Amino acid sequence: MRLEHAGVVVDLPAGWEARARTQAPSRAGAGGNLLLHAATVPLPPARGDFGSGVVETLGPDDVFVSLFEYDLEDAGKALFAASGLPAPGPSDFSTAVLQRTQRNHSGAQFFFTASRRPFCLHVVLGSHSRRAAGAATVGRLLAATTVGARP
Amino acid sequence: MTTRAPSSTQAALAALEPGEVGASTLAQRAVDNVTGWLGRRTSRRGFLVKAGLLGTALAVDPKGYVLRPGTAYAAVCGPGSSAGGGWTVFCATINDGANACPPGSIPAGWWKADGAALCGGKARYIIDCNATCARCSTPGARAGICSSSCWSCSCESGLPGTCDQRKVCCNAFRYGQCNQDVRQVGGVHCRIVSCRPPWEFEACSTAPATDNRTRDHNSDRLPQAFTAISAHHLAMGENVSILGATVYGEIATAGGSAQRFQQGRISFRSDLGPRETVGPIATRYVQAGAEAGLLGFPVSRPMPLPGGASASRFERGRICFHPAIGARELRNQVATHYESLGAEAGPLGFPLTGHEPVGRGAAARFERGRISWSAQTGAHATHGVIATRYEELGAETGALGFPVSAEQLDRSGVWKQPGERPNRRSDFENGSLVYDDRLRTVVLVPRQP
Repeated sequence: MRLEHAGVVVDLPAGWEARARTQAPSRAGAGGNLLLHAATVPLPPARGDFGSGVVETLGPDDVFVSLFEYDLEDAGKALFAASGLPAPGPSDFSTAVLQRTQRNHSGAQFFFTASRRPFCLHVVLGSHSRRAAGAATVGRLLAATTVGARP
Repeated sequence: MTTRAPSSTQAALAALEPGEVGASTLAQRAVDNVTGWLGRRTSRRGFLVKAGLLGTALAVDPKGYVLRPGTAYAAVCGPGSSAGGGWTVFCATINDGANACPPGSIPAGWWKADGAALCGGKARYIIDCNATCARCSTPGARAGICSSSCWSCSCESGLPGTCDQRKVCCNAFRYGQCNQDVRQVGGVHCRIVSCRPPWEFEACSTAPATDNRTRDHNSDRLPQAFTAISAHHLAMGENVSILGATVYGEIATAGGSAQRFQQGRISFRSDLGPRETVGPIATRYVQAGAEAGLLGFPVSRPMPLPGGASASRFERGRICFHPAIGARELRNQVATHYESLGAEAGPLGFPLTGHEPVGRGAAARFERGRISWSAQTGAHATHGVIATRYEELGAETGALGFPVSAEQLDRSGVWKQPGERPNRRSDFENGSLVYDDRLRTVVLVPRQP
């Protein structure tokens, strides 16, 4: 199953659900930024951009991913110096890398630029002790994801 | 835009937000088991007594507090206020009430909660103040966060004595819109709130992030409602106004309310509206008892004067500030008379002393004179060398007593030849002082029996 939105294409592996939208810009006339959520649990309608409302429902083997795009003029800043979609490994995950730390949860966060677009990739795993399997699950999703130019 | 949503997942599509595209390989299932919002179930009575929050809880949400099972934490500090909730503490809770990033931390990102009652129904912005990598950096890290061993603060949980027991400097997360030129920061030290978009006053971009579930997060050391004072502060520029950020929440005062800020105060009474006092004037106002003191409520906004000076008027007085002199308080008829003479721009100049009780009245010294008041004589000014001589003679408590008239020209002709300019004189209860400009001296003329 494929999801395409605003230059991002995701061929969802089995067991994933995804949503994408273009955020209403903060200032009139500015372009909208992409927000993509993917998870191995159902995505409720009301979700925080970095997963509140979803991560609370993660089981030990579940994963939540947020691909959050920044304003185009943010590209080029030091924070986004890394290039291309990351490939998170087990060592990238920590129980502290969470907007809201939750018992057993584990998170990873990456800032990067792809196709001249600045992004943050935030991944939450339902279990830190199972982060190796969780990282592999995320890896399959990201391997099936491409980021193209902003339309 | 190309959308290929799964036609077989109607439930999933029904859950889409406006403008959202989606795809699912899951059977949609109920998600009403979302939990984790309730804070630790602390005994209401025990907690409230300990934290002194009963009044606040009842004032903020009386119906909800009384009728709903839950905790006092949730009534005042909103959901997820315990350390176990996993959220980060508000800066006001750990920064002596100030809704500002503590030293050593910088804004690193923000999100908004739409439709927030705490911002008058508009968006409420929550800004993360992240630690800095004060001790080291982490080369090659892509997270935008350095190792916790480098952070300028240490992870702590909860803060006893407040209902905001959220985590302090624990979460290694970065929202990413602020200070993007800083490649790495530390974890979230604490968070501040604003009804003004952060890109208007911090080094932040406009990239919108939203988390409406945090709409009611709060601290008992932050304002508990959006009031006329909040609106006035917002109109002034809020955290970057001349007042700075809020310090603790609003307090009830004599017939009104007031809010402390880093650099001043806003006082509110329904018939006067909100009025701010700023800087040393605000400090002096508080020392004088603020709204409940003898000055009463402010009736003017701060009036800027040349040379960095300023003044504020109050119901029963005035406070004047000059950088070389400080803030001085004038009360009642002395203040009224000073204003009638042109105040700081008038012949007396700035006050050198504040309100001084003297004998059966009061007085204040100025750069070029003095105002004395008693119930029997009213308020009168003495000027220049006459005022100096009057003070040498003991002023109001000396032999002359209180002045009984404004300074005037001496028409007696006693010391003058015809055609010469008359001398200046001030009359007192027990005599007069006359300045003889030919002899350049002040002459005491006792009152004739």
